[in-house]
Amino acid sequence: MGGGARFLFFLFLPVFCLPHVVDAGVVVNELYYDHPGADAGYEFVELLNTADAAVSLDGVALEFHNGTGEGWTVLWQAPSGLVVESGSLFMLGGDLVLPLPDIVTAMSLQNGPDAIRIVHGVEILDVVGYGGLDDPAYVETLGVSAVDAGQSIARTPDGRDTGDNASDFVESAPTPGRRNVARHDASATPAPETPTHAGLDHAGVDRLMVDLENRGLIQIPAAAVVISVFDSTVGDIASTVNASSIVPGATERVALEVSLSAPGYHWLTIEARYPLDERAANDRASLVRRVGRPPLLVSEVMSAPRDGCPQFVELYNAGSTHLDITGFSIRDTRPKPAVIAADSLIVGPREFVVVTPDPEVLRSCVRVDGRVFDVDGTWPSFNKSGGSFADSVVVMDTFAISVDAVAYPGLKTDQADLSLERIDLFASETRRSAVWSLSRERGGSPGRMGASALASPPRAACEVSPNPFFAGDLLRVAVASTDGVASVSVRIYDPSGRRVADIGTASSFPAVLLWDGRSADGEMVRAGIFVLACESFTSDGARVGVEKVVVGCASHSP
Amino acid sequence: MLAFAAADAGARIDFPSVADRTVGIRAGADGFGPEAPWSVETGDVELFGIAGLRVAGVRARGRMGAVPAGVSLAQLSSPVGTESRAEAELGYRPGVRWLCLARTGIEIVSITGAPAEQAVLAGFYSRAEAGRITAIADVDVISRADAREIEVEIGVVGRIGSASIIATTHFDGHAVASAGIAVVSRFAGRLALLAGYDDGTETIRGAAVVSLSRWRVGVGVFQHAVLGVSQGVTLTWSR
Repeated sequence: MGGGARFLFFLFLPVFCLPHVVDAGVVVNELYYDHPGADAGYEFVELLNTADAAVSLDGVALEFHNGTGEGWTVLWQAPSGLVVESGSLFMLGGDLVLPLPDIVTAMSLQNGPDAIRIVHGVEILDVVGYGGLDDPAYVETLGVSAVDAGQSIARTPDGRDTGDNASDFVESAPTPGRRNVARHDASATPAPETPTHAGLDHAGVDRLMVDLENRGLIQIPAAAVVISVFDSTVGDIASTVNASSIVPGATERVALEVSLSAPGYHWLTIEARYPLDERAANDRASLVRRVGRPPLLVSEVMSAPRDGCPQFVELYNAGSTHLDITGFSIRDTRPKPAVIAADSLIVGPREFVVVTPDPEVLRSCVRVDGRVFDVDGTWPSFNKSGGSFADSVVVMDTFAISVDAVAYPGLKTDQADLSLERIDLFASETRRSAVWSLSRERGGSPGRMGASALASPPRAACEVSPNPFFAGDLLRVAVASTDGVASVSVRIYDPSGRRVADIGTASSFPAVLLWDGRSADGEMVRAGIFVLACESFTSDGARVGVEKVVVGCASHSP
Repeated sequence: MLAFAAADAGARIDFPSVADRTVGIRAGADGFGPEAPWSVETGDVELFGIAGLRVAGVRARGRMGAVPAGVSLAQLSSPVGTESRAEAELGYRPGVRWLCLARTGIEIVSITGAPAEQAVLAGFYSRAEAGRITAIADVDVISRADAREIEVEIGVVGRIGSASIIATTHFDGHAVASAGIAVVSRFAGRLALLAGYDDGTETIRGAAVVSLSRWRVGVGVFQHAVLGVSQGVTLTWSR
């Protein structure tokens, strides 16, 4: 062999070494080789007959190549008489694969870089290099990259075979015995404007936007999919159908209005029910909605302690029952919450708890009544200066839904070591300085009612929902109060001042009163504008305040 | 008449006249000097100190011989919607001792997030004088889509020197009666002080009306037992 011939021989040697794959119709359609934990029993290889006619597997074998060595070893030899129909799947796998494979056999695949191939005698029907294998002798063009444990590699769409493993296969959730891309598949996911966790201050209607996507290969006809919302406490609460047909890959946005009346948490499940659906895994999405707020209030903030002493935030259970705040967190204006460090934290009615980055040092600095807790993670470091607005304290529940949020003003330099005591327990995220009063004692009053707060007059607050409300609905009046309020009377007046209805009197708090829109003689009130008045009284009958709310009443909902 | 008792409870929008609100009835010229042939009146009342809750309006009145006529617009606005009322009235006044007016109009309630609802109004007003006594009757019928509401007000005005005492009774659509009383004192023909109380609305009312040439200014304060203070102003031009 001359020099030129030798040059050509070595130039084309890699080409001669590439596997020569015969198009016989049967390909590896999906490969699952790395199960979390032990792989034994869970591995599978799924074959697909892409030909237009049935294919006999007589003489066909599945072989394995260990990426650390050379050559192939036979994993499985097809028995005579096996036939795979056109377009059908044929699965080999361990005895723990569900559904059970057509052939149950221990696969003993490794996690890569390795390869498998299908051969018929000397003919190579298909080769798949995986786990990052890049040896051109054992892959088609480029091997498939390594995937996470629990994921398979799957031809997408099914049977795609361009001669490039890296292009033909994608990482996928395992679909043993089923097509990698379903023919019929409707998925439901919350639209971006519908948060998975959210709070409603009042009972009412929440509008859920759901993206209904056709992830299958066949068009979904109009009205073929029922999209429903299931409330774990009351069952199905809303449903609708897709308004128009949805072509593969397209999405229809669907609106569902759910009425949430019971205070507390609602675990909602959105489900797309499509009779032909082949993928149950993407049919559902979970949401959490909280109606009302737990009566946990930020009652004191020490943002400017003296040198060597830590900041603290005092929380107060304004309710009349125990409150489980395990997993609750606090943050400032930045979205970096710190979870209150306690395995179990139940706050009794009218109890204060204190949260600080260093409980021991705080106790050495100032008298602390009650329980003190650290936080997991970084303390929010609340700002102490800034004029009428220094910072905010936000308390969030375990679902990161805001429970209480208050802004507080900055302090002057001569106000160091004075805390801000909240004297308006009903103010939410507001920048009014009137919400706060400087503590009357150095170091603040962590764990107890401060002198400033004690000096604030008793008050009651009423929250009305829905407002406006429609004839036939119930108007819900949530009543809260400070200490010192013995009863709250709630009445409806017309704009001229005539009393229309007595809704009721609350004597324990928080309380909820309902109005069915009827006047004192039982007739429905007219459509119009009314004034709801909450009069609060002390135990000796003295009136201590009136809160007025304008209420709109309509005869017909839109 | 009260057998027409309405199927809904409520009240109409009152034109924001300080004087009318204080005495509890449309008193007309009583207490404020001779009635002018033509007048335009505008008023505004802030209700109960609630932000955004107020009633405002404008009213024009005139007389052609024995036929008085007028139109008015009033609107109650609030954060949750509005109530608007437009009405026209036409009457007959053969002399100074008797006046009657018939009126009709429309009322529109627009609540946020709901379709507007309309009602048709009809009413009748009559005033008769006998010596020092004036008797007033005012009937309002409001026909809504599913109900009809009738309200009746009856008033008696007694004049003693430069003062007037006005007693009123109000019947709503459910035959519930309430009563009110008011006193009007005039000083030097230019100033009138009004005070009154109405038990239907639990309101103590006080107002002062000053007449200057063709202008008349009225200011009033209304103290509700529960809802607190309302305050209003009325400005009238007449010729």
